[in-house]
Amino acid sequence: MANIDKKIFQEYDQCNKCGLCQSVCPVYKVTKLESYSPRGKVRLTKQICLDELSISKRVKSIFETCLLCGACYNICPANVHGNHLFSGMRWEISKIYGVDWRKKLLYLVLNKPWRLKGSAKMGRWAQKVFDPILPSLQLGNIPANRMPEFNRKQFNEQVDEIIPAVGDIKGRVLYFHGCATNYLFEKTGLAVVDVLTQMGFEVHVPAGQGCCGLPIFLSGARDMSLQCIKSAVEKFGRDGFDAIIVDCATCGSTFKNEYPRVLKEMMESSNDISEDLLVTARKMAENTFDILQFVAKYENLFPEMNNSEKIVKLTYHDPCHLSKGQLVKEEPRRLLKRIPGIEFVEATGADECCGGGGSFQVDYPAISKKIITQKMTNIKKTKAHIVATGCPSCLLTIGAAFKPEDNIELVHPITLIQAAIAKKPNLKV
Amino acid sequence: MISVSIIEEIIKVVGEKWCLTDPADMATYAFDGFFKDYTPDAVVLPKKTAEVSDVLQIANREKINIVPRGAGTNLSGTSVARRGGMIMPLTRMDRIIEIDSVNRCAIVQPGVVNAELQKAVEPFDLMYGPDPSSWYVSTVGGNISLNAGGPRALKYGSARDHLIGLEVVRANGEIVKIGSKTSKNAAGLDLPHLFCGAEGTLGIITEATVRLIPLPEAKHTLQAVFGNLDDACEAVSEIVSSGIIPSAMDLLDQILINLIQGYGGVQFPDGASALLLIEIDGHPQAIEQESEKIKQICHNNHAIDIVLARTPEENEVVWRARRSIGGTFSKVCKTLINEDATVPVSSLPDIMKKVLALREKYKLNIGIMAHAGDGNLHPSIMTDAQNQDEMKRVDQFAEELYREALSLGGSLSGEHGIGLAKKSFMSMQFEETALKMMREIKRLLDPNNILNPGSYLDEER
Repeated sequence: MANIDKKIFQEYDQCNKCGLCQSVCPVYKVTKLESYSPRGKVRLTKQICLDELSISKRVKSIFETCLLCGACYNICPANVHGNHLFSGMRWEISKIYGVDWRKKLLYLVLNKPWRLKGSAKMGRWAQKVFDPILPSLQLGNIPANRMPEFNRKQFNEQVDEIIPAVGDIKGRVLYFHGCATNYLFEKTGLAVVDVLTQMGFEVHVPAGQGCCGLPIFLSGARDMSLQCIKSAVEKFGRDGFDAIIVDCATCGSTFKNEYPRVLKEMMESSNDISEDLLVTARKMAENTFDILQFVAKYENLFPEMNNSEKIVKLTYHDPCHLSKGQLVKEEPRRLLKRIPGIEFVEATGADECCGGGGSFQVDYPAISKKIITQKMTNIKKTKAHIVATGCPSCLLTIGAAFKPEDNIELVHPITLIQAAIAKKPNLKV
Repeated sequence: MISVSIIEEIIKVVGEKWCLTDPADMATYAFDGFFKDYTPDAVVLPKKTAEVSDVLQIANREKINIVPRGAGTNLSGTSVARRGGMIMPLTRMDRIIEIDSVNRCAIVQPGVVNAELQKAVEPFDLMYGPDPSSWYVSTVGGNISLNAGGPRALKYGSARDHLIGLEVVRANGEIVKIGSKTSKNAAGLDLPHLFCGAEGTLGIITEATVRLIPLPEAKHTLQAVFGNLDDACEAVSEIVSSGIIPSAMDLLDQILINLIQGYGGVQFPDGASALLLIEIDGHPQAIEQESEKIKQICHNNHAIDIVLARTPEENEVVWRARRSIGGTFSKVCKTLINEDATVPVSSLPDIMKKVLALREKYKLNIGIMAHAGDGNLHPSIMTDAQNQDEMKRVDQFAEELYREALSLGGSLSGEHGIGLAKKSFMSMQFEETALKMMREIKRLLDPNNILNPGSYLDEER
């Protein structure tokens, strides 16, 4: 690995091999194989950087066998950032082995908003056409008939670019809705806008937003992701706003943690990235809030909540990119507990990864299945009927794991808050 | 090297997925918590006792080395393939077979993680005694093989004190059950304890029956800061002889205090040169009285600051910083070597003085942590394995340290084991007749020397 920028990977030297990461790594827990443990992967990174080991197909598959959930760096006493090291290694590996053509195709679609739009329409059409045979189709562990329906009309066509505050204006925010809300979870987007405007914020939804780029660069295809990053920085790096609001844990964590770092690392090997871009990305990172984090910060601006006579049990799942990526754990719980009619039950291992991990569940269905099965068992023990979680990927993964007869609904917490402050009592989910 | 035909034979036993030979996999099994690497030729992960037995039969016939391994967290270099051959992690054998709350014992497979066992028995108001710092990761099988302890060994003992039965597979593949579930057992040779601390050299543990103890009702921690190390040592001696048995009593010197200062918001006053963390557990009223008494002892020995943590949350804050030590080292040094000298507790002040003198003499950066109540000393040498000159001084330091500890009636290891780290010192602690007896037992149980060869039991001079 002669031409790799070893500085990026220097962190391997901080690993003191205590192995604490094994205790939280979802992949290690179900495989019990050191090769898949973060400690093992840090060691591989080191040996590859020192030219003691060459990148091979096995190395590639080991680095792919990681959910990039961040549990390891959250617990690491030596602050070794597993996610950064391993996604960096995927980048190096992709330079040798390329990116799988199926993924490449997907990334090409994600790269351009208009391509995204076309394919979402196509998805909707396909859902209709294949309806009779859907039960037999599988996408990794997700049976095709447990995929949520595509939005009839994409979210950003349903709202204006500027939505005025209700009553006195308290501030102005930019809203990044990401792909999932735009094409799959319109309810989330509508709730975000509704709650924010009712709290007195003017919401700006810049037109032409696309993918944040994370699924692309985490798999190693960094060059392909640059277009996404540039477009997002251009639209959201503007001055004059109190916050950039993100409803997707992953996109939020990308804005906060990944853009500045990835741009900085790529800058060393590319002329395509200006200092200005990096400065703006850093500014953007500091101004980004997860919707729940933001709402909790201005909780005092809530309109009065509706009473509810019906009591429903609810549990919360920590998305990795929110709890570990953004260290937001307490706020969602606090908000959910405040909602009348909700009995909050904490599940064992609520902060453990659901096993989704982007395309992980498609690439490694057997390992993913073991992880989600444990998650389901823990959720079932709470006897909750609602699982709230602020990440589209978790919503999909956990939602698809349960069967209709389990009587468990998956929701984004913001939709519950919306229902609680809606004009009419309405706690239907 | 292991021939292709033998690998194929092993694959027939454990399945292709669990017999690894790729260089990438080998690299991840080339190390443990110690700092020396040895790349194995294969890694074989059995799922059940019968598979262990079958693999051992093949290995014994072909004279292939086998190194059993738990989570690979030991600090003495015990679970690496020093003479090549295969590593056999028992991590997939991770079932808790039985929790017998009436008879207060549990039967577990060797790969059960210590903390998982603690979690499983807690609803029965029970706990497993050994609490090594690695307990979130390390396995019960590994704990037994190294006779591991932890802070609370002071009151509750080490792995040996909680072991009552084993199933082991001998080098020739024979499966043997020894010990029983009873708390009293006067029948036959005490074989289970022979395997405790044997570091995987006599057989492979495939099942263990361990004793469980009632969870204490309440816990207090006193955090006492002293202006000098002597005062802290005196306080330790006085507490030990006062009749109170704390569940843990850890001592940290100034270097370590500075290292953890500020962690999780913990602040120590100016002039803090020694820190004592004293945990007492038991009946709430009893420990109220005991902590008052300990507080008085610390006062009498010139403690400059005393904090008493009563609630679980307060206890957590006090211990969190202490537990963070292990991880913080890598920020200040490339290689950390953790010594494990142990002396009778009355000699603690003497060995402390010696360590300080040796630290000076060999010009090394050493932080001192001690499980003070049981005389178990962990000088943490912050060094760089690449620096040959310094490593030479590290070796000299260690040799002098252990010589002193032994002359005080101590031991080479309190809880980390011998492994690679202290193999060459064994003849300092044991007379030739004792070493000969150990080697003869080894030869009897493993005539081909395939189990963790290169250990302290090797015949070589």
